[in-house]
Amino acid sequence: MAQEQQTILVCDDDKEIVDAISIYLSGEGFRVIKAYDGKEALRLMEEEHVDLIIMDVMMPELDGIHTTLKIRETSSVPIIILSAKSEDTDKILGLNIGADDYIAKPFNPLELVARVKSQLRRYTKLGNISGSQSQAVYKCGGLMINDDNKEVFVDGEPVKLTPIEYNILLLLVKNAGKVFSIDEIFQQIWNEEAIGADNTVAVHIRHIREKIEINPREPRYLKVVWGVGYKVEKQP
Amino acid sequence: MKKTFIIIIHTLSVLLFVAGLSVIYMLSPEGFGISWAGEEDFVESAKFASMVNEDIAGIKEYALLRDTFEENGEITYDRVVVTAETSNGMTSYTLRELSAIAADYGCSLDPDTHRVTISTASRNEDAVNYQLKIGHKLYDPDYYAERPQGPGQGIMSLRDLSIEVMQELARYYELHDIYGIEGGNLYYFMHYVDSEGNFRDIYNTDRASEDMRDLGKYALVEGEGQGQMDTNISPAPDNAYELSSGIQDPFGTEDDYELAVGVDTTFPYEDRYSEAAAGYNSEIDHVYMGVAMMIAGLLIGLVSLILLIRGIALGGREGIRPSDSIAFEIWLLLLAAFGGVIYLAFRGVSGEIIGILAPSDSRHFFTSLVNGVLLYGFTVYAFCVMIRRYEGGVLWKNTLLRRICDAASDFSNHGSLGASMLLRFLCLVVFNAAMGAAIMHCLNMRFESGIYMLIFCLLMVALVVADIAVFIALFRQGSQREELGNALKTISLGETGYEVPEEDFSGRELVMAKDINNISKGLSKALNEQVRSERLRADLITNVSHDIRTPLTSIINYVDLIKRENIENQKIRDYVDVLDKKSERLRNLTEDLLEASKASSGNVKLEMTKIDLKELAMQAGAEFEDKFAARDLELCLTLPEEPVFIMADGRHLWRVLENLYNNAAKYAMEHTRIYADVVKGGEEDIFTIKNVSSEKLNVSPDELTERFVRGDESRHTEGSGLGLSIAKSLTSLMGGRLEIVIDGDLYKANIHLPSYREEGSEDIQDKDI
Repeated sequence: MAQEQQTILVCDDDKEIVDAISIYLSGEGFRVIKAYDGKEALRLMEEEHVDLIIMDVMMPELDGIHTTLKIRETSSVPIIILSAKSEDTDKILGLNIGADDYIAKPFNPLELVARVKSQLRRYTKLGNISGSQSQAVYKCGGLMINDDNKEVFVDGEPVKLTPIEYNILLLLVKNAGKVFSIDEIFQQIWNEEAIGADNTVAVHIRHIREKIEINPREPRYLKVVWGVGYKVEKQP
Repeated sequence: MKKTFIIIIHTLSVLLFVAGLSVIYMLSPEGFGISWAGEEDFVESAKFASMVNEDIAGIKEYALLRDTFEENGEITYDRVVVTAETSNGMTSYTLRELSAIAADYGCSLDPDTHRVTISTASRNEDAVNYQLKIGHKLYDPDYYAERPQGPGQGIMSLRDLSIEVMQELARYYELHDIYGIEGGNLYYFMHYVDSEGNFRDIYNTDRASEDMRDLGKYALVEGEGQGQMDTNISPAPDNAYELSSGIQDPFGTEDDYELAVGVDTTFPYEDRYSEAAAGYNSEIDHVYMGVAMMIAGLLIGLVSLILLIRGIALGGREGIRPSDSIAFEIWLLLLAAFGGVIYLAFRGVSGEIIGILAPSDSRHFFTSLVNGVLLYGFTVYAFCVMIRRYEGGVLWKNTLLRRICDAASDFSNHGSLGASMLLRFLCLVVFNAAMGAAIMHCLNMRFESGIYMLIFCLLMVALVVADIAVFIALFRQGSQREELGNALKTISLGETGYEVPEEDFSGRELVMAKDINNISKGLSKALNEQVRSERLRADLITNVSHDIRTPLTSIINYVDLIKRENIENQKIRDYVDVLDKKSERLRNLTEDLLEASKASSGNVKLEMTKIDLKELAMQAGAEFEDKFAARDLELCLTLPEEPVFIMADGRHLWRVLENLYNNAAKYAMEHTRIYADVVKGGEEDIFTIKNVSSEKLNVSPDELTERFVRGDESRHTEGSGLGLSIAKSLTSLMGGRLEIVIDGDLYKANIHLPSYREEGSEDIQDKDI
């Protein structure tokens, strides 16, 4: 990587997990500093410049939630919560108190690395792109569509979509927050009435998800509203 | 000792009161109470008015007797005094004949003392039973008019008649001595028409009526005045109006009646008026003394009574005597019987004593007084015993009524319902019949007297009130039963903690209400216990899952790290593969275990919304396209044209479908088709998935949805065996049901879900079970 080395703070009371994460991230060219509880993490934050934090929830001394709250008082550095708790309520709590992402244990190492990269790109690169404002640019979080040259970027990385996939995504992003049923999407894209049990649209959407999401089962952008339709979450 | 003292004081105070009352009674003219004592001057007092009034009555009586027995100032013996019907026909009796007959019976009149004496030795026994039917009595012309008619009326023996005439004669002498002579303070004259229509007059003065006014106190009545009395006596002597025997209607057409009475208030003569005037002031003093005695007696009596009652009340439970264990009603009866015996035994004796001590005209008063004091004593005693029992807490307890009530309520609450109802019904019927009979009786009497009217009204009111009371009781019972029924329904519908307010119930319903509350308490306790243990287990599984995850993370990560090292040794690479697979399986197991435990314990947050089952089936199908394609399975979706709206939690229903599709992807025979249908029903909509199993299914459908059961144990290693269990729990949490059908190798899963209803307007139901 051409740019200067980025520093990631990994904080977990399980030393082996910290080591493993450290190995993966070092392999990707990041500098990793380790902390084994919340207090240590806060101390390191003051001492060094940190680009991203991976934080366990259940830790001695000061748990991840309180540490995150403390950090958020002074810094907007991306924080990925890493937790043995996988319930929705835990995730919502983590995201609500200011974390940027939430990964449940046991995690897939590749997914972890992908999410770290995604957060870093959003945090660093996105600022530049947002400068060039055009009428035909639609943005939703890390997802950006430039309708002038039919390009889609996720966290700044270009993504290749088929024309139909592109149209579906554009429709959803343009109307971010609105839920489209399969029939509605079909009518909008194909301009004809939907015919019975055709799940072409659903399959397309799955393909889009596979392309733009790190974990298609837990999409960040293109969400499945089960039994109702699909939507793109409105994000800043 | 103190109590005895108080009782003595009380008795004395009662005696004091009685003595005061007697004094006042003895000194007061009849019909005026003690009001006469308010006037300082005798002639202005009611006592004086009363005396004048009595004298007027005396004058009238004197006039009548004079007409009977006197002729020109002399007693005449030859006038027919009485006519009577005897066995020999109509007979007339003159005074002469009657006095002879009276003498025969040993009856004689002393002309000096005017007393009739009857010697017991009768000389003419035969005539004692000689009965007469009286035709006319000259001295009592209203004999028939004043008495009620009847077959036995007017019959008396000759002996009694002769004695009666002798007594009338004696009375004549007596009155003559008072009114027939001049020289008293009372002056009068009276003009009247006698029973035979003759104009008569009687007087002891020749003063004109105008001159009467000069005497001081006077009363003048003239026929012409139409009954107007001219008097300065207060209160007016109303005997002057009164019709008297033998004196014709003073207000008749002839205007011949005139009465003038005057009293010389200077009292120049010594007579009863002057005596009364002289004694008046000392009598007033006596009356005041009597009043003071009454008030003192009343006050002391009241204070001592209160002290007595307080003394008894303070006794509390310790004051109870052995006699208090007798039922109160029986005790009262015994007391009454005792009082009755005493009354009967001493009635004669007390009558004699009163006869000796009291003047004859106040015997009745004193007899009543003695009876009243006796009754008062017994009443106070009964009241004191009542207080004692009340304070001892046995007043109500030791009554027959309570025992009857207890027995009745015990019978009606615990006895057989049928018998109790029958008894109550019979009571009602008997009551109504008795009331009806009584009312009919009253109607038959045609309200001949006011008392029947009163009784009739009372009976009607009682009947109506009683029947309304019965109706209200039935109504209350009915509504209580309804409430109990509602409570049972509520409990049976699952609200196990429901309790009925016991204070709303009575009688048999109260017993039922208590039983229901006991059941409800027991149920909710058992349920709470069960929920608690379920929750405990769910918590345990949750904690264990969390605790497993941390080490599992390390295992997975380090296995992955080993895989990344370029290991030449094939054997080690194979081993690491095994580790990789098993750790992945362990991960899935932990996840599924957690989910299954939550779903089965209901510890899941549901967000029930209106969703389209058709849409969901398509979405789910799309998610599994790759997985099916990998095993060359074809998904055939059969969906209705219209959306199929149901109430469900979309994410959880997706988990259900995911598990079903997953099973199909895993266990369906390769190169076959998987059929998924959505069928719109009325009450509920159905999603069905069918596939042909690649392995022989040798378990029952019910077993399949049990935890850790899989269609085959041997081949697949990635499943946890919890998929169907989770699916089933989640479906039932959402109000639906999962049904597995196995027909040979055909495996079929049906999900029934309640249809969305427009009126069920709560689109989002947050249920946190």
